[in-house]
Amino acid sequence: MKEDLSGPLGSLAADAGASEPEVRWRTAALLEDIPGEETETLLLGLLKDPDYRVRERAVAALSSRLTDRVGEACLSALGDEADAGHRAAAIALLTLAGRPGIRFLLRTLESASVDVRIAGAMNLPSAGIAQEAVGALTAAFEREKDPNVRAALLVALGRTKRREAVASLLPLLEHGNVWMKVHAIEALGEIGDPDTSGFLIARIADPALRRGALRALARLGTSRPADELARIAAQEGLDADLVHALRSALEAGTPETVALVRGLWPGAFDALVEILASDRASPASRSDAAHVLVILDLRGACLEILRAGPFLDGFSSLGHVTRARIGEALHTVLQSEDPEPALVVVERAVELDVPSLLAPLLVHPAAAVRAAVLNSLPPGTARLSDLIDILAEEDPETSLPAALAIAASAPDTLPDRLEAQKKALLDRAGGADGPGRIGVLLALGEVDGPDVDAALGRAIGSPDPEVRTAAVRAAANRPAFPIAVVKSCLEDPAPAVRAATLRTFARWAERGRETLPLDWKDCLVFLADEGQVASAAGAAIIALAGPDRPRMAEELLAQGEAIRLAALEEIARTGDADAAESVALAAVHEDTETARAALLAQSVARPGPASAVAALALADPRPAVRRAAAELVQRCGAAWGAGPVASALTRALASETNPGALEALLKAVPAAGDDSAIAPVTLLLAEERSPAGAQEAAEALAEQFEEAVRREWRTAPARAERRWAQALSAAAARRTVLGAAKAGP
Amino acid sequence: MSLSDAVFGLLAELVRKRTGLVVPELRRARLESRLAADARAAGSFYELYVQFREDSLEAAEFGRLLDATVNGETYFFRDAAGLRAFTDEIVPERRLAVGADGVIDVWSAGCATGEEAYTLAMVLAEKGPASFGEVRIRGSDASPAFVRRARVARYGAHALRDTSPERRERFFHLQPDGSFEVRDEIRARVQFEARPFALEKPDGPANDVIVCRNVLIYLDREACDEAIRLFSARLKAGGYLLLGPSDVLAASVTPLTMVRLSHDVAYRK
Repeated sequence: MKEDLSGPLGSLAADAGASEPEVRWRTAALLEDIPGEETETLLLGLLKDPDYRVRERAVAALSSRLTDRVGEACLSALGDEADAGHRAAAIALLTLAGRPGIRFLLRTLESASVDVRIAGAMNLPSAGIAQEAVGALTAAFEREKDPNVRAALLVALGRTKRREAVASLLPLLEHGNVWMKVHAIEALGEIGDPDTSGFLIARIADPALRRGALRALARLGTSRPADELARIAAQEGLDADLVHALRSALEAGTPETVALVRGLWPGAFDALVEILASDRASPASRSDAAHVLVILDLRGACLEILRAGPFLDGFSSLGHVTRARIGEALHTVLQSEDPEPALVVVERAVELDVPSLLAPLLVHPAAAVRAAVLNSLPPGTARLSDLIDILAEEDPETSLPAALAIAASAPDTLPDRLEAQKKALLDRAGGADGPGRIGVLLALGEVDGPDVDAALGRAIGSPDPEVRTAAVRAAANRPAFPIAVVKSCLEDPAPAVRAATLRTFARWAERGRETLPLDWKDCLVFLADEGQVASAAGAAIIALAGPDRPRMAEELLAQGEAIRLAALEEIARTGDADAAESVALAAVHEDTETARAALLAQSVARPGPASAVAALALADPRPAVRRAAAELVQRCGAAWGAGPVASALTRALASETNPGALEALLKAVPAAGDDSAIAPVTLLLAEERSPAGAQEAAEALAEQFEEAVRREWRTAPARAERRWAQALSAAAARRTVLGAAKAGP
Repeated sequence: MSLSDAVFGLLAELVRKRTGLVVPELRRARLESRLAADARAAGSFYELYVQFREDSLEAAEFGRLLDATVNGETYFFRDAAGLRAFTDEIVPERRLAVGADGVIDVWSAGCATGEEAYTLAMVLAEKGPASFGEVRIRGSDASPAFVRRARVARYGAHALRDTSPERRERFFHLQPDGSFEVRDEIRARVQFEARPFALEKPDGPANDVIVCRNVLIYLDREACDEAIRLFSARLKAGGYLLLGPSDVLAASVTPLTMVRLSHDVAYRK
């Protein structure tokens, strides 16, 4: 073959046979980008290269072009008894190729070699395997005699995640030997069909199968085994696998499940506390026990967690505290100066929508906790005197939250209290420099009155640059603040003050404040100032540029990163579509942050250009850019209508491997996904732990494309089938509510 | 004002890029509750992100972001085996290496609120000053708030949960509010600095012992490798690196030699 080639290909063929592995490796890399049978043949030859690095490179090069010819060549290679490296490369190629490799991997199950059959079964991918593959695997299992291949086939059946495989697995639980039973149980856990929980529970009594059965039950993600597990715990005591399975069942359950388990297992508290206190229990087991203890909503659980913690996941078990038990949790965490448990309880109270209960934690010894509570309390909840006391602590962490809590007022606040709040703020604003004064000045930005402007004006004369900065920043929120006072701060010796001044002018311009004595040309000089001043100048130039904005936006793209980013970010605040479109191409800028900021600017561009840019960026090789594009689609996709984004979104969903980008893509589905997104979402729903946002995406698709989703539901893998069913129910419930609302009383 | 997925992602990425610390999704609610006031003053969480982005790594404001992301929970006399290795094997060996009049430099890297650094000083004090000569202990942490607390040296009972009554009596003053203050003679032996690993120079002062427990597990792979390289550069020849049990695996690429001591496993230059 090599002799037939001439020109550049001939040279590559020669290099593919070179004696130095580095040359052959480079050749494999070059051949990847040259289509055609000739290069394919050369790469197939490199699959049996003596150097593993060359073989790896050839596998990578061929993985995206698995033609019938390449697949057949791989199957032939698997018969190469003399060269294990060649066989391994062929298997690796069929595996790396993903879905196109499946039909060839299934054919390896007919190989005469036990090793090849095992490798074929073990390497079948879990994602995207077709329903028909279950039949092929079952048939292979039935004719297979080798126990190791049979075990590998059972594991492969599990990895299909399809309910069709369950029928082949259940009989093995009755009639197979222990080796087959163990693998069948593992496969059932992998499939995750709740209907199999009864069969698995029945295996717990068998000491050889107990651990596997409990682990499989923990993977089902259902509360169905909860009662039986509770009975076993009550009768036989706890072990690590049982407590893990119990945690999984309870986390999937309802309050009724919790009540049932409590009733069936009266000794739960003592048994779980024993694990918490045990030196012999594993960290994972202690953590499981902590979660079960709190989920069971038992009196005294929080105190035991606090005594025995922190656990593997810190104090996150306290995140299960029920609304009824929040008071007890607050009382408990107050007994420790460690901020961690208290902060978990603060987050839980916010999640349960009872932040007003948090006020007692304002006396917690850790400033971090007091700050978190101040940030979470609804306006007017805390006593003014308490807030003033905290402000007087002059702690950098609590000063601003305390000042903002004083400034905030509930709608029904009495005039006397409002007056007292304002007086407290103004008193401190006129006091000595320090964290309290800085916090109060920032908070005063939200308070009305000419006396506030006077207080801010006095603070601008402070010797402390942090105080001056705070006063200038607060002035940005005050439409009648004397402009001349702020303008004089452009000459301030402190860069932070000059930067805050430029940002304040930008805010005033965004809000349409008229007669500003500054235009964008006045800001140019600050582009050469220190970093933070220069970037603030970038923002101010865009804010003040008016009709010159598109041109200036383009110009500032050539500046350093900080200025470029500030300018791009300012575009979205101005709402200028022309300026956004003038920087559209920066959405694929080589600097990732710049690309992200340019995508942010597209949120104010017109639908046509914006959706085209988003579609382009969804295919960007950088996850952070794909994520930013998905976030743009999430925000604006619904307003764009039909366009290139839906298909780009589907393609991105099918290939995304970065968790953050995947979550953003899923959250974009309700805004812009079409029925082509159903297939990739199914694969995500089939995972044991489907990624964040997958269920919401499924519900949105079920609402918009009910018929297509119903068709998908009927043939989906077990976990996906269950989750599509939930999505269809949720969509139907939403339609019922909407229908009732439309029908009126 | 809520912290969106997008801005949480930006904040987490900013912290990772600058310090190598991985901010898990679990910390999102924590960031929201800790930084809500700053976000309100800035205008939004996105505006706050812009402020952090423009802050230097050493800025107090950026320190607030780190404070909200890092879990600094630790306690005195944690890891008894490691402490015995430190006093019974490592320090005596280093004393021989630096000579009777030389100074043994110890760095508690990622010291959180100071418990570990003070514990090292306490266990040395228990052995008696004559046995060890001059030992300088330096603690450093990325979080300025943690370092402030370390310098104040006041702790609650929780931090002393593994401290015997005798040690409480010997090394702490019980305060009227129930807290425990580290005694001056121990405080005098320990210096603290707020400084992330990213700002430490490989050619900075060399150490006889670096103790870095349960820190590497919070770093991404790149930052972890970088930290190990930094520690290697900052150890004197024959110096020891002591890691936590989970860090041993994370540091499997260390260029140092793993040595089995009677009480612990350590890495030696």
